[in-house]
Amino acid sequence: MKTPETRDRKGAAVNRCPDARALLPAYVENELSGMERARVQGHLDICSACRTEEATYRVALGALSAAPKPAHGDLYYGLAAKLDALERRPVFRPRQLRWAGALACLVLAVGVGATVVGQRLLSHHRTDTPKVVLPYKEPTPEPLPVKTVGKGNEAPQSPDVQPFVPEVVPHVNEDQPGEDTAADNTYKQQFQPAQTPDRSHRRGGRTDGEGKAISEVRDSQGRSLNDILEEFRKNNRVIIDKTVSPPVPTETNIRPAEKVDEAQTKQVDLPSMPDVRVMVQEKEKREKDGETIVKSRRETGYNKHGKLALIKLDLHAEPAPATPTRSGGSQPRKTTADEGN
Amino acid sequence: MREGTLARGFAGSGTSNGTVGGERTTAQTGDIDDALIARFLKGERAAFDSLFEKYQDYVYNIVNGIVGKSEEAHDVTQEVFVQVYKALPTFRRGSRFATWLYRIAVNRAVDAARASKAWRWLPLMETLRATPDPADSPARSLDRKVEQSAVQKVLQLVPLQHRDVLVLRYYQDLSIEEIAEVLGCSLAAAKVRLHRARQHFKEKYVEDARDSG
Repeated sequence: MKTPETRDRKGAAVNRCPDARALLPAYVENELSGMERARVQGHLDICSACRTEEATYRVALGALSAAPKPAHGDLYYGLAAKLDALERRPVFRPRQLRWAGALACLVLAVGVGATVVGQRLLSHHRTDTPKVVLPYKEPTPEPLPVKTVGKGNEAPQSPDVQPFVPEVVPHVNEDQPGEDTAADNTYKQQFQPAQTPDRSHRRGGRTDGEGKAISEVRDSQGRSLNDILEEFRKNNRVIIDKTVSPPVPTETNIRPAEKVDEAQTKQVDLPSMPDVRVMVQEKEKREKDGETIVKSRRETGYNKHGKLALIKLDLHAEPAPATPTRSGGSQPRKTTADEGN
Repeated sequence: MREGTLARGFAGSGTSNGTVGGERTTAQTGDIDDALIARFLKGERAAFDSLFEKYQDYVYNIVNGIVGKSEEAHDVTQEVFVQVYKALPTFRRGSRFATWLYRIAVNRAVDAARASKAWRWLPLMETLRATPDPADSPARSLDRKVEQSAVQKVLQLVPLQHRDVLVLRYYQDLSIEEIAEVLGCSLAAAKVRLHRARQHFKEKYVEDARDSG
């Protein structure tokens, strides 16, 4: 409750207890301004609780100020040894660091520049750089026929021009090859994937494994590749019969390949998948008694682009099986396609 | 306002620069420190020893106040001067060496205190002598002779973020401006931190007195 005698000279209100207690630490340490000190003093004159709090602060902070500083031993004793160890190590001064940093930047810049220049020089001298040609090219329209009537002064009649409708040639997907266009041939001839040489038989550009033309190859439903492509153009999708499993390579279609070291490689052709070539590699190990033991069997499939399509590796010590197993590892299923073949 | 130690200048303990005790101005102190630093950078090891001799007590007081253990404070103090030894070539001559040194000491001590995380209980029966008298006023009951170890242990109960401010203020007699400079904060922030640190210390002090009573 404010009373006239609790007001200070300027008539300002006396602080409340929270306000006064907030200033007590500074009041005790004589860190308040004259006006603030007077206001706190005025409140302490009428508030015993705050006076108690002020006394508590004086005792606590006084003890902290008066506490003797802890004595320490010889701090230099262990420090000298540590400093000596530092002095033995090379200490780089700022100038040295600057020169070292500049030298490092220079070496880095020279290295990067040499790498870039070397790559450019090598690229200019490289002869086997593939030239990538876009597979699809907008056909250029034929020039319009122009009829000229008369000679000289007569104005040429407007040509009888049919409205030009460019032939819509959909982009041929590489996975569904159709009849090769000139652009396709150029593309396929020039683009050489980075694979082992002599892979013309793997790219299903012209024939399948049995020497048939691509256009003559039929799937399980009797559709040719052109039919499939036409269906895709119309419906924008192709229905694939997933119930028919690919035929299992049998002995009839296994052609022995040339022996490579101690491994025998066999090429397996799948009639329904003319674009996939399966190479079966078996490594044989003969024991002292002459018994042949198949050490490993590896089946690797490549698509027409020569890229790895499937791979299967079996390690066993059993005699070589009479019939090759499927790449899935299970026993082969006889299907209508197999029986048809 | 209270003038801090840095402004008053250090009297030094066993100064080796030839001066005879007494207070020096800030400029004189700074010049002396710069001269010693320059001599050290030229390869004079004795100059660093002079700096060490001049500031070892102050650094130890700061470190011991924050860490609370004399043995650990001993090691941390040496680490502070080792760090100063390595970083002196990068010290900017324009700023005050003492401020820079104190900042390193505070940071090192705080890191050591956090790493140890050792709570030390107050030896209540060993350090407190006075028995509270119900007839006495609350102030008199708290007015007892408290050994240095008791104050130090109460100080260890204060949160770490407030302890360094109390050490700089009461162990090093730094002004609020100097505290702000060492801690790298604004003057208002330093005032707030000091205010809260005092409140915490008072609360812990009262709790200690009640527990001992």
